Amino acid sequence: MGIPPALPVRTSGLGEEDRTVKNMVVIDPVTRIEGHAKITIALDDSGLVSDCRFHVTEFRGFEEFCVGRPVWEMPSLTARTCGICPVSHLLASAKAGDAIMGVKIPDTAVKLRRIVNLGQIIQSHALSFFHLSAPDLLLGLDSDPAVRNVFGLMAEEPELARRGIMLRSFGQGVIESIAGRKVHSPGILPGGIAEQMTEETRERLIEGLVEAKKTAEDALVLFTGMLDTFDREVRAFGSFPSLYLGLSNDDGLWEHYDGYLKMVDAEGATVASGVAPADYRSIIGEAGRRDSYLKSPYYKPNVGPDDDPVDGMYRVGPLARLNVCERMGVPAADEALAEYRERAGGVASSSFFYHYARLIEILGATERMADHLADDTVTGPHVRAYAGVNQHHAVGASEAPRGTLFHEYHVDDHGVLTDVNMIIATGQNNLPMNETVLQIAKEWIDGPSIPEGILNRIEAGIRAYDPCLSCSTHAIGMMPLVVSLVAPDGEVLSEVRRG
Amino acid sequence: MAEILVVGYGNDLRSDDGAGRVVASRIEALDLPGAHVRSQSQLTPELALEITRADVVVFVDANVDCKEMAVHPIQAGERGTQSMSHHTDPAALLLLAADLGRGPPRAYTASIPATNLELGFDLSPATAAAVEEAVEAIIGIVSGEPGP
Repeated sequence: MGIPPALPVRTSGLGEEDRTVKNMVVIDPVTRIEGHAKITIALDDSGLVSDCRFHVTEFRGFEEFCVGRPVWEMPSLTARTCGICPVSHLLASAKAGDAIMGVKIPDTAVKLRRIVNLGQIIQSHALSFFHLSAPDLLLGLDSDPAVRNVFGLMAEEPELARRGIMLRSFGQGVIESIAGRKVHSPGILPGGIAEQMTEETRERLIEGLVEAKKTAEDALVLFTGMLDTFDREVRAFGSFPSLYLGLSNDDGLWEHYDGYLKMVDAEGATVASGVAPADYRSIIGEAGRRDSYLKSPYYKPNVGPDDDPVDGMYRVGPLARLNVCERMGVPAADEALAEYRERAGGVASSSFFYHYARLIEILGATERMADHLADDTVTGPHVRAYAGVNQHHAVGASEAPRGTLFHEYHVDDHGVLTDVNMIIATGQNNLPMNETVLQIAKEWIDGPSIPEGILNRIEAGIRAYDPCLSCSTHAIGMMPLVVSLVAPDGEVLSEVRRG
Repeated sequence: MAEILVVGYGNDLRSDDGAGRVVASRIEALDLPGAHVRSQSQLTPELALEITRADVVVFVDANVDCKEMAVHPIQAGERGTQSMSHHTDPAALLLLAADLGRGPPRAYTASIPATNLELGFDLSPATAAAVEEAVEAIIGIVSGEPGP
């Protein structure tokens, strides 16, 4: 399916009153993110920023593709939603499948799924930090864009870049070892895992963890050492009060695979807790916007029928998870978390801290993985439960590197899907990404002349969320669309509206 | 013995687009001495690490712009012209490998003509024939024949 023509951004995205705005800056494409997007900045007559929009311009429609397929195929199908974090979709889909079957999967399978998700978090965060964002952080946001990439980083900081690639490779190796392949892995299934882990694999992963943990620790030292030089970015890269959503557990520990939904506010107070993922609709609503193929989920209790969804804006992902949890539950990461909270002044509200949070999560993931691998039952033979269709509706949720991921399935008696809804982390960060772009633009732009370094800051503000647009742009039939036939002289000949 | 890395990549759910991966699986099944095989949906940055350990690398991909199977030498990309995100291309990977330690003395791309990229597992006849040619060409490279 091809990508439809771009929506008429200026007339549909910024509101009626903005159609008269004379000046507009467009960043297209946004670089070093996964997917295709553009940013529109509208200036008023005096050259001041009046509005901004982050537009996702690709369209995919995966939810519709899945209807009519058997639930057993869903992990493989939905993993194709994204080649970047397929494990996240595999896990959420397999968990929904577990619930359709009505089974409690073997404990060993739970441990293996947790390990593979930790591997996924490590590899994804490593790529985000070392490949995509470190060039900005280490070479400078105003540095030459021709070298402001991993190759420039390699020239300036070869050892750091090398270790970043090694870290990513380690995480990918964990996935491949347990799930069968790095990308679109076949080994995670409804009911558990396809194959037990061998002792050889276990020993190899334990060995690799030593270097992985050291890399995370060294990267944290590096990042905190330069954090003071980014004071203005910390203040203006999405630094605003919002809600934060993540999985949680009874012990208050950092959670990435199971548990219940917890939402905290800008002061860290709990606004929703103990919500089963299956009941996500009790707290999460989804809105479409005219100027993007990305859905905009929001915290439902804060948004009335006539309110803007931005009133229910919340963030997910590393920043949110560290705000939701009480502690990491492993020593080195807990020490790092304490310093992080001290630097943030409690709840971290700047999206610039996503980078910092990612490094702490990498560190915590290596420690958690070491704990799992030290458990002799991790190589046990019972890794899968078998059953038919025992439930007609289920929700699977897990923490993807970018945030909480939901797969909701309705099936018939034969397990054939009759309805599918997926809520992707990047979608949940859509509203805060828009606010971030606006905040950065207002901080740095005060006239029609916009240096490249400022444009890069706007992109970097988006990049802090590490958005993955490929898997988050699949709402079909929800997007309000305006299709206009416009004559060369500007006259609108006909217009069709939906939504 | 030379260490040879064969990287077949593409979407194996998109008919001819998966030709590179079919070649990879064929080479793997032959268990050729010194040959290491990777079959991937896309080229990912960490492949650069494996490239540093190889003497020869062959990237195998479907190509809608070529009429017949072709093997060409490829060099590392020029610095300042390469970018990389979650996926990359052979020239950028070779540059990254060179930065990591060493690029391989020899690297090639094997392009397989593709005409049908619709959903499906089957190769069109011309692509299937080109796959056989690519396998033969790679066997030649593995056995020490000088490349093109």
